[in-house]
Amino acid sequence: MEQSIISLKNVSYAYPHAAGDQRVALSDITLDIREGEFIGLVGANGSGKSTLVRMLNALLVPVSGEVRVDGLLTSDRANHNRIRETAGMVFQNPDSQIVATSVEDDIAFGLENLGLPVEEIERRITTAARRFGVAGLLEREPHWLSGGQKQRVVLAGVVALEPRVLILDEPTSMLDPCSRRRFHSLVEDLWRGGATIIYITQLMDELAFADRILALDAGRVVFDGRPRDIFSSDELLERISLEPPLAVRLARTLARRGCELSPVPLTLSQLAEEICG
Amino acid sequence: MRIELDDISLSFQPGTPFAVKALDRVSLMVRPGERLAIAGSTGSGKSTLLGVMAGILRPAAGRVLHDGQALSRKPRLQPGRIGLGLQSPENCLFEKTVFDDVAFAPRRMGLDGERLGQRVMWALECVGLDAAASATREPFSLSVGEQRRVALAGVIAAEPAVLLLDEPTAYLDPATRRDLLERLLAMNDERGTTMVVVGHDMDELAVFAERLVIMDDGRVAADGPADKLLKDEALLERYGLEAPGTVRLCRLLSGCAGREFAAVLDEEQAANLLQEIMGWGPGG
Ligand SMILES: Nc1ncnc2c1ncn2[C@@H]1O[C@H](COP(=O)(O)OP(=O)(O)OP(=O)(O)O)[C@@H](O)[C@H]1O
Ligand SMILES: [Mg+2]
Repeated sequence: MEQSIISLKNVSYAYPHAAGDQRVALSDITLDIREGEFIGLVGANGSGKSTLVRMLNALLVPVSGEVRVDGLLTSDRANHNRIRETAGMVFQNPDSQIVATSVEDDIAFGLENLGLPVEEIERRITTAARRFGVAGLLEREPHWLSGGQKQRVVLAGVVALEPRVLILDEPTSMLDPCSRRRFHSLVEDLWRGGATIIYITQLMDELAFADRILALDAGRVVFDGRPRDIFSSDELLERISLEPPLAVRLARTLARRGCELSPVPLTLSQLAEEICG
Repeated sequence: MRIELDDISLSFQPGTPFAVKALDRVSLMVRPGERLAIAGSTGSGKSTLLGVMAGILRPAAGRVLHDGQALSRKPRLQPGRIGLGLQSPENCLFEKTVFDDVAFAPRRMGLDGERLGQRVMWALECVGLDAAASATREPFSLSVGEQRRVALAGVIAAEPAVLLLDEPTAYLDPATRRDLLERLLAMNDERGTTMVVVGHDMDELAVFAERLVIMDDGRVAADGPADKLLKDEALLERYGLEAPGTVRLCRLLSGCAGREFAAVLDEEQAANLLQEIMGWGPGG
């Protein structure tokens, strides 16, 4: 059997100062993620997505249950460095992740912490900066960048670390459509190169090529399966506040008018092919 | 309120080697009651443009007029007149409770007691937050999406004549997104609130905007009726944007059905087109 790179066993979590009120952020989650999977993580605002991924690089540890990353328990502080080398994370708000006063130093920061040789650090900075279109910004102060530019700097910094697991918490929310497309193909490359990807998004279109979708509702996993299967239950979609992509919506309109498309297309190209074909 | 920008230029970090021209001779008029969308690639000057419209960023050259009046030299926010929703609004939450954060501007406008309470609850509802459950929470103990909703509620709560919103739907879940757009449309329709919205999601802009301005490198690259510009895929791509899904679909269909189909923006129309191609006409 393939070994799971991430495994959660009966994980629950409640934020400390939320004591008194009954809200739990995560509730009894058990799941395994195999190396090389592309996982889309979806759910309404406040459903627990960010809390869940903070568990995966030991920023948070469970109140009960256990999390293992590459076999290492996150509750053991001695493992934290190795866990964070394995699982790299891009936070939802880029401002909270920018540490240095120049873009170059910011990308270098994580690399220096890995203790890589100087030439290797320089090589990786150059490659990452080129890939994310921030090569022209290296000397700039991150503070003065636009929201989308900051987001690209943060992405470059994390991808440069070449983590085996890449956790992306709504990484493209401030990118323009063109940068977003470029970013998707980059993530796809990393994934095809063997990386495990955990991708949080509110846009189903971004998850067309995911192996597996996990949906959270009030801290519980309410769906774990293939992308196309998540659209079959209206009740589920309503609960997780998800909207199917345009191709699925159109296929449904056609179905209501008495014309079923099978299989249900997930992307516009699939839809066009089925219609013309 | 009418907002006029007359030949505006603005640089950040001027006089340093890193000086960036964020706006370069921009002239633009926002008419009262208009729904204007601003799109453009990352760093093209959209957020700066909103800041100048709001009067919180002072241009190096050019004039900003609010209802024909040049802005005074001292930049300041004008609750009730202009509401500005920033790109990372979660960075501006500062009160102890969600209620107080949302109540900040209405209080400054003199609202108190029951009227204040009603206003805050209404604003929280507009952004899909359960008012009773969230009003007493600490803003920092919320998820990012929830924080953005609170910040947005704070802007809406002042019921300004003009709403300037920078990517208001980023990080919101789809149901909340749809709901918010509907509420904004209703405010525009019922109270004539002027709306200027920066956004990347062209499908959303197709529903929302009457007029579209495309920014490129600090300049206005295109300015016209949204339904016309959004169908022009070549134009959009030139500026790093992506056409709405229905428009891309029409192009794909034209490619594979061996016939040209005019672009449509409406989902219902797109469905009709699909039916037509399949050979059994819209409406059965
Ligand atoms: N620092 C915190 N302190 C207390 N409660 C928190 C904190 N951060 C999040 N929560 C609460 O925990 C729950 C889960 O939040 P989480 O940030 O994981 O949601 P999310 O799914 O990432 O939402 P979003 O889509 O808005 O980013 C929510 O009820 C939220 O209000
Ligand atoms: Mg989150």
